[in-house]
Amino acid sequence: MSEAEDFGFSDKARTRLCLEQPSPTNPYLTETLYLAGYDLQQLVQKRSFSDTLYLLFCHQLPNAAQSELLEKLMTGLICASPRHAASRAVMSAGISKTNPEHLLPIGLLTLGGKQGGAAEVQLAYQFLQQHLNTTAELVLQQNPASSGHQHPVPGFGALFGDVDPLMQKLAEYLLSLEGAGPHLRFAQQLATLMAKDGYGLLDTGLCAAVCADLALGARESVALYQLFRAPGLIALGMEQSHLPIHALPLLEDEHYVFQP
Amino acid sequence: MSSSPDNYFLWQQKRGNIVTSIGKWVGGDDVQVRQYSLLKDLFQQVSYMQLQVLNATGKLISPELGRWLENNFMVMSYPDARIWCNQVGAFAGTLKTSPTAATVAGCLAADSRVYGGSQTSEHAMRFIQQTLLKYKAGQSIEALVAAAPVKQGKPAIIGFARPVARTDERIAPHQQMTEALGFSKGEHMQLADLLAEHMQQHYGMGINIGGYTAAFMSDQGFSPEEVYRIKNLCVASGVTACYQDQLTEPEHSFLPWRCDDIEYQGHGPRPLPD
Repeated sequence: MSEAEDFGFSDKARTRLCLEQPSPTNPYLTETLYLAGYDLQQLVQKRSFSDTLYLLFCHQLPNAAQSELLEKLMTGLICASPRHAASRAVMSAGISKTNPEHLLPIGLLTLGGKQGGAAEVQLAYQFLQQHLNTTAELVLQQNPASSGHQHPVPGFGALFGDVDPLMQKLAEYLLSLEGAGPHLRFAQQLATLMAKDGYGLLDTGLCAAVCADLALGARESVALYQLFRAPGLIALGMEQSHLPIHALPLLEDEHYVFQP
Repeated sequence: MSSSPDNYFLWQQKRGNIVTSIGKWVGGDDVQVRQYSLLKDLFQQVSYMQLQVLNATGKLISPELGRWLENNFMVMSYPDARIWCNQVGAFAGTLKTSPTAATVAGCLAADSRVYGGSQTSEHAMRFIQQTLLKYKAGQSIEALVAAAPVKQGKPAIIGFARPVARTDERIAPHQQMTEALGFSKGEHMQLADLLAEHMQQHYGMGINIGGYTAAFMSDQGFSPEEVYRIKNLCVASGVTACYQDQLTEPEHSFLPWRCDDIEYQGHGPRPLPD
């Protein structure tokens, strides 16, 4: 690395989130931690996990309606199906005695994809933002749902060939909350129009719409989706880790077809 | 639309079956890797890199190309814990994370659009392949560079310049290696040379290893996606080195920061509303 040239690297890290008041006797120890100005000790005593989570990303506390919307989304997404690819990955790892500390990262990495995974949440977020001021009908004209793709637009599509009824019900409930905003309403309008072709709101699209309504950020919504899905992944993986290795099916040779 | 078994026919077909062309383990006997027997055709006959490329792309490359890539991997991964992915390995070492987790975490950190050699190779290959088409269609080097987005007054072209050094020390050795192994310059590399000359002359920015690799691998007939898959662990070795360097050190002792080593720019302390 050249020492003679200045490439613009800062000499100090910066944050708008954490203020650490050092211990009077040890500058490496934190005496008091403030998150966006609020003492963590007070947050622990007076605020919920989801309120504090919102604070981390928005640097302000949510109002009651926002708090409820986030809390309900988190609960709604807390556990994907044990048949979901990320759940299957973490279950395979659990049953095969992978170190317990690896189970969550395995699940989250698997969940990171652009097709039905966390990376799709950002695409869906951006899609909703870009089209919010148009009509759902126009969007559908520009993005024909019958194009044969599982996800004709990011965050919307078919799950196993049909509308995902679980997400549909969750979306309808979230829409009934005071905190539901224009992104979620637009997403639901679009999903309703697409339903005739067998497409609907996917979990990624739903997460994107709510995150957009809460102004949580497009990039941030990727990781938040992973976080929301994390508890179920841990639980499914850990559950399998307590079982013998033969408690999950391993495909027999006759069902493994090699066609070079 | 009402649901019918036709809607989920695809999944019904795949339920309980794996149909694949990548290979098969026949327990106690042999393993097929694509159309090859691992033990009869490949074992002791090809390099690990050739096998790696076969698994990643289905192509059994020549020993020379395998050698080229192996040498290329060598210079994608330095044992220097200032590099971002290596820092991850070092931090993992101070926490005595498992070596696998540490190395995977470092490789994941290098899955970046600005450095690392895997995703950046994909972007650089897209650029050089698309730019070659435009060049063949008649656009000049000046016009191609002018069309690039500008950052800090200079064209931001993937494969040229680096975040931390103007000159890439790996280019000259790669040029020598490419020639020594008998590869001739293809049309992507010839275009890269023209771009490099222009960038150097006008902006003082040379080609970097990502740009060079992109041009070379494009000339070898690989797609950007294939090279992303080939090179996805190319920083692993340096990450592991930095991990092991910190393993015996005390907790949190790698580049420790005091509280006041971080500049706080947010809200000052405020009372929590009821």
